[in-house]
Amino acid sequence: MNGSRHLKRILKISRICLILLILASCLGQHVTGTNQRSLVVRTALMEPEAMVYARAFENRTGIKVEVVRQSTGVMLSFLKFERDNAFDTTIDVLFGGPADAYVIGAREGLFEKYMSPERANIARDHMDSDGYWSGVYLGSIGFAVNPKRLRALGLSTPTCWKDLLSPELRGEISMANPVSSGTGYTILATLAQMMGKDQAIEYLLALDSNILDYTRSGAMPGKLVGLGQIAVGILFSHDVLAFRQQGYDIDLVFPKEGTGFEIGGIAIVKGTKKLDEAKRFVDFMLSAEGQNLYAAMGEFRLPTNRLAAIPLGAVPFSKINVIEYDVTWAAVHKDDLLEEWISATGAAGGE
Amino acid sequence: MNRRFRFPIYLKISSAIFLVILVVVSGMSYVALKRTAHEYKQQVKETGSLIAGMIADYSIEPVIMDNYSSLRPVLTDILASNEDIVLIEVLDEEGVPRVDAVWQGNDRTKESPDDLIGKVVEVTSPIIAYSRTWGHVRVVCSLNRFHEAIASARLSILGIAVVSCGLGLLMASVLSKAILTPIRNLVDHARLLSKGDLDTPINVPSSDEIGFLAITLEGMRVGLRQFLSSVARRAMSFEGDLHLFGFPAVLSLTRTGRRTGGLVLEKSGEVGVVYFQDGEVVDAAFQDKSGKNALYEFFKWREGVFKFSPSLAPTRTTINTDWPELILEGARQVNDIAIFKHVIHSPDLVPLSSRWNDRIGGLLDPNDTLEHLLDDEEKEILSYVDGIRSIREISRLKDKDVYEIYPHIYRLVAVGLVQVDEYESSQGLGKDLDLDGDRQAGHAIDSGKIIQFPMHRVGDVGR
Repeated sequence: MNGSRHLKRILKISRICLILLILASCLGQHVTGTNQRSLVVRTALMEPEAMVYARAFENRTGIKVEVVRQSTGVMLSFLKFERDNAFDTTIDVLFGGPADAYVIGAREGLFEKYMSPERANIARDHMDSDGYWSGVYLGSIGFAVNPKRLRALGLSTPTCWKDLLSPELRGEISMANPVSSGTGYTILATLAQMMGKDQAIEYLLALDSNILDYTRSGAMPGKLVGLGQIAVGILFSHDVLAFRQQGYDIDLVFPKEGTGFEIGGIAIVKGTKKLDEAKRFVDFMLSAEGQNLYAAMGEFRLPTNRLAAIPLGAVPFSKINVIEYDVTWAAVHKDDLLEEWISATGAAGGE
Repeated sequence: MNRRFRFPIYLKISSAIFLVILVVVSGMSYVALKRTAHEYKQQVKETGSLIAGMIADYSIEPVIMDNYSSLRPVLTDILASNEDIVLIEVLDEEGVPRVDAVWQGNDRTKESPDDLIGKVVEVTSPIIAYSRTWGHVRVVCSLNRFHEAIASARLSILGIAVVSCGLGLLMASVLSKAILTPIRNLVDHARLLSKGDLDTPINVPSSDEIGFLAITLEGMRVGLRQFLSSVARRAMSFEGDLHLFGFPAVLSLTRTGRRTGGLVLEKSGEVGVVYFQDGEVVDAAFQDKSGKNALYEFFKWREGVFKFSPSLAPTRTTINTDWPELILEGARQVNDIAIFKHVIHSPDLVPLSSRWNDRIGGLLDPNDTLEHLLDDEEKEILSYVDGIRSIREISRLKDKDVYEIYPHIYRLVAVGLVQVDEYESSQGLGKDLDLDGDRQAGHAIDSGKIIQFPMHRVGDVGR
C-alpha cells in the first residue's frame, strides 16, 4: 500500500521532470536549428570526462557533439516519454551508465539496432547480442572512504557491506538514489543478487539510518567523501580512483563479501536524424582508440575492447571478488526492486 | 460696443475646474504609476529571487560535480516559461559563469548586459550545500514589459484626460451659452429700459431663475409703463378746482404750458370751454356766448372745476386780444368779494411786485409796457406795493376801506404785476408746473419733477 503510493509519487515527480526536460529539449532544438545541430549525446559520465571523449571524436571526425550530462534513470525515462508522446527525438546517442537501463531501453524499442564492426573485439557478455547496445567500459562497485574523517570518528576502515551498518557511521554514508541513478540501482541489484531480494531490502533499510544523502548522481558520494563531508561513499571504483587522482584524500575499498559491477553501455536512439554520425560516435567509443582515452586521461574505467589499454591503477575484475552480476535480471526486476526499496526506506528520487 | 472677445465667466470657472481635475488626476496617476512601478519591481525581484533560489537548490549537485551541462536544459526551460527573465547564469565559487549564459530567445547579440542597465532587475542566489558556498545563480529580469504597460497606461490616461477636458470645455461652453444668452438678453432689455424704451416686451424664454428674473423685469416694465402713462395722461390734461386756483391762475398755468386744446370748465351742470392755441386764448364758448363774452363769464364764477383736454383743439379764432389786456379786462369784470377772497385770503397779506420777483420769470415784462393798460387807481395801488406794506396798510394810506382795495389788487395779481404771499405759494405749485414750459414738451414726461408733481393732490381736490 505504502510502497505503491510512493511509487506513484515518484512516477508523478518523474513525469513532471520529463515534461520540463522535453520542453527544454524542444527549445534547445529550436535554438540550435535542426539542420545545423550537433550530434546530441546524453551521458551518465561526469561532464568533464565525457567532454574529453566528445572533443576527441570531434577532432577525429569533424562532427560536432553536444554533451548533456544526465543520470541514467532520467535519460531512459526521457526517451520513453518522447517515444510515448510521438515527439521527434532530440537525443541521438545514450552514452555510459549501467547496462540494465540499456536492456530495458532495448526491450522498450527505444534503440536503433547497430552492429558496429568494433564489436568483434568486445566480449559477448558485455554487449547485446541483437546489437541494440554495446558495452563501452566496465566498473565495479566499491567503497570510498575518507581516512582522516574515519580517524577523527575513531573508526576503522569498513571492509565489508556489514561494516556499513555500524551505528558509529550514522550520517556518515552516502550513496546514489537507485531511482534516478544507474549507480544507485547497480548497488541495489548487486545486493539483491548477492543476498536475495528480501535480505537486500532489509540490509538497505538498516543502512538507511546511516545514510546522510541519496544523491542524484552516482559519483557524488565520492566527492563528498573527498571533501570530508562524510566518511564513506558507495560508488563505482573507477570514480573513486578518479577523485583520488584529482588529489582528494580518499581510499578505495572493495567489500569482502563480493561486489557487483556495471557494463557501461552505448546505444543509438531510435528515430535519430543523425544516424550516420551516431554510428561513427559509437564506433569511436567502442574502438581501442576511443577506449584508450580512459588510460590516457587518467580515468580508471576498464575498457571492453580487448585491444584497449587497461589504465594504470585500475583494478581488474580478476583481483577482486566480483559476483556474477546479471544485467538482464537487474533490468527485469528493476521496477519491483525500486518499489520495495522506496517502501522500505521512504526515500524518493528522480530529478 | 466693445468688440473684444470676452471669455465668459462660466467658461473661465469650468476651465479652471478642468485644469484642477487634470492636474489632480495626472498627479494621482503619476503617483499611482510610480507606486505600481515600485511594487512591480519588488514583485519581479521577489519572483527572481524565488527562481534563483530554486535553481540554486537544483544546481547543488551539478555544480559540485561540475556537471553544468545538465543544468542548461532546465535553465532554458525556466527561461521559456517566464518572459520577464532575460538571463540566467550559474557561476562557480570564483564567480566564473559555468553554464553559458542562457538568454531569452537566445538573442545574445541584441542587447549586451550594459544596455540592460535600468531596464532590468538583477538577483543572485548563492548555491550553498554542506556548509559551503559552491557558486551563485544570477537571474536578470527584464522590466520591458512593465515599462511598455506603464507607457500604454500613461498614454491612456493622457488620452482620457484630453478627451474629458475637451468634453468638459464643450459642455462648459454649451452650458455658459445656455446661461449667458438669456442673461445677455436680459441685459439688453434692461439697457433698453434704461434708455426709456418701455414698449419692447421682455421675452426671455427660460424656465429657471433667469426666466423668473425676466418675468419680474417684464412686470416692472409693464408697471412702469402704466405708471408713466397715467402720469403723462395727467400731465397732458391737468384738472382741478377753481375754488383753489382761481380762474386767472388756471389761465396763466395753461398759457405757460404753451398748450393747445380746450380748457373745459364746469359749474352746476353748466359747461364752457376756453380754447388755447400754443398757450394763447383764441376762442371761448359758454352757453350761447362765444369769444370774449364767453371768456369773461368764467371770471365771474365763484366755483367750479376745470380740466384741460389736449384733444379739444381750437377750430376758430374769436379772440385776438393780447394776453395781459385780455386778463385785465376779464378781471375788471369781476366784482364779487368772494372771488377776490379766493385770491386774497387776508387783508394782512403783503403784496409783492413782480418787478422784484425773479420767479415770475419772463412772462410779464416788468417795465412800463404793461402799466399803460392800468387805470390811474390801479397805477396808484401798484405804486404802494413795496413788499413791506400789507393790503390793510395800503388801504389806510389810500384812506379807503380795505375791500375797496381788493378789486385793484386782484386785477394786478391776475395780470401778474403783483403777487400775494399765499397766492405765491399757489403760484409756486404752478411754477413747478411751469418748469414744463422751460423744457421741451416731449421730455417733460421723463422729468423726475413730473413724478413729484402733486397733481394727484390737485386731482383729489377736484374729484
